[in-house]
Amino acid sequence: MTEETVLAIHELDAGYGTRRVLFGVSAEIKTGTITVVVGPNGAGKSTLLKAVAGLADRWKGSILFKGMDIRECDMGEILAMGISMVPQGRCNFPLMTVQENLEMGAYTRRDPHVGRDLAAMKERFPLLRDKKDLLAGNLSGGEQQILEMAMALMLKPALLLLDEPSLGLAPGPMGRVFQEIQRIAGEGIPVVMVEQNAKRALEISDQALVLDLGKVWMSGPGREILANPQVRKRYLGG
Amino acid sequence: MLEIRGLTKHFLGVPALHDVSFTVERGEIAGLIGPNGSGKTTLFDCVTGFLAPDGGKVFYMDRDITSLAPHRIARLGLTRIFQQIRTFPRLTVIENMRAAGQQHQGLSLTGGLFPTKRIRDLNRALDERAGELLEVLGIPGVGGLAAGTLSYGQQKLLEIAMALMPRPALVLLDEPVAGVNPTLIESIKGYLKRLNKIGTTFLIIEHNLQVVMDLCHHVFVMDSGELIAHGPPSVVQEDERVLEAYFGK
Repeated sequence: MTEETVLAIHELDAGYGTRRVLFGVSAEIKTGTITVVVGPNGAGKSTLLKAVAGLADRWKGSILFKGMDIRECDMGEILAMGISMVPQGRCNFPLMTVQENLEMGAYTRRDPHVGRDLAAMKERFPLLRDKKDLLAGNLSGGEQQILEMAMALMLKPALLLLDEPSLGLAPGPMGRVFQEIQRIAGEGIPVVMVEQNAKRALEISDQALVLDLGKVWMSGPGREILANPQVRKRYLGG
Repeated sequence: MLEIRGLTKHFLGVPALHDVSFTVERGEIAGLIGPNGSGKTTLFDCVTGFLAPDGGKVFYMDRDITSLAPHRIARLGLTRIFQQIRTFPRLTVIENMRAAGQQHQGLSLTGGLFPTKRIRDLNRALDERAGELLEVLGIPGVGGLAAGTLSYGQQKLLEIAMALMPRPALVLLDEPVAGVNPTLIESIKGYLKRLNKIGTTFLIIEHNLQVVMDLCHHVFVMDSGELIAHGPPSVVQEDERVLEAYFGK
């Protein structure tokens, strides 16, 4: 697969209402790669994902998705273009069954293959098949996280944004989530993820962005960032 | 300090807790680990009155607190944080923390409208403590911001701060460092250890095993609603059943 730029963020200022969170952030995301965003709490990591997904205010700069500037597009338009975001925490529909949640994941799709993809998704994540008739709210935290990811994949995204996919997961399921992320990237879908389990995430990443106080403090290949003594001390807990 | 006896809870017939018994001693940091869905949070909910157990008893300082209302339990000095964020999004961070501190001093709304000197002094003390906690938790600059505008990780830290505001005797922490930056985890660990040294007892659910091993004196392991092992972290870490339940085969 040739790597081409899927997303190019240039000098982006973003935030909420009157509160500016990101200042002149630039980044480039290529097909089939994993980009990890690390940094202190409140650095603007989630805001960066939300700005791309159309969930934050974007005042300046550009966000080119497949060459088209989506800075002024709203959330719905961006979703329809194939940018899928899994927010932090567990946001599925707790009073609907797992099966219904997966169907909701495909809500914007109009093609006839939804049923087939649903079946495939349950093959891919057997726990969703086993628990398809349970209410999503009764799944454990880790299971809900997997469900969220499956819902995002139901959209057949061209870019997947994950906000702390390992949040609240025991070591076993966490390993499986990271494996799954590598598999998704392996299929060509670029993944941008915010992750506080930074060492683990950087190990599987192609590229890393270190954000602090709303600016890119450093960027580079994941392993280089992981090995950087300053980054380790300031952001990775030594 | 905390004694759980035969705690049982079912959801629509599905057992979430089955006959769980254990004791947390005064002055210790106890850990509660186990795979996702093993019943850890349900246990916290039953202990703190957010869920009524179907069977069993909970004793706090030798007093039966089974099925007491959550706020009554909190006033006895047992506070908790939640896995999911529960702050007042439109109040400022300081206001959130004041509220958390005031609840436990029996202050009322009318007291807030017509403040006497005693109340003003109390408020000043609360603000000082709030400032100190925010400093320790690495978010000193956010006091005046609406809690809802903080990032997830910062709100999580605010939750910890709110649980600690009333100087509780026993704190139940549900994944305190999930979503927290690794460097900050180190300083939070240090702070919890300090609080523990001056007498606060902790029961902590945490998936970050490094944190559990560093902090806890005693670890309880749950799987499928049952207690499957317990002991000092070094022993539990080697236990076959634990490894299988936690890391899978």
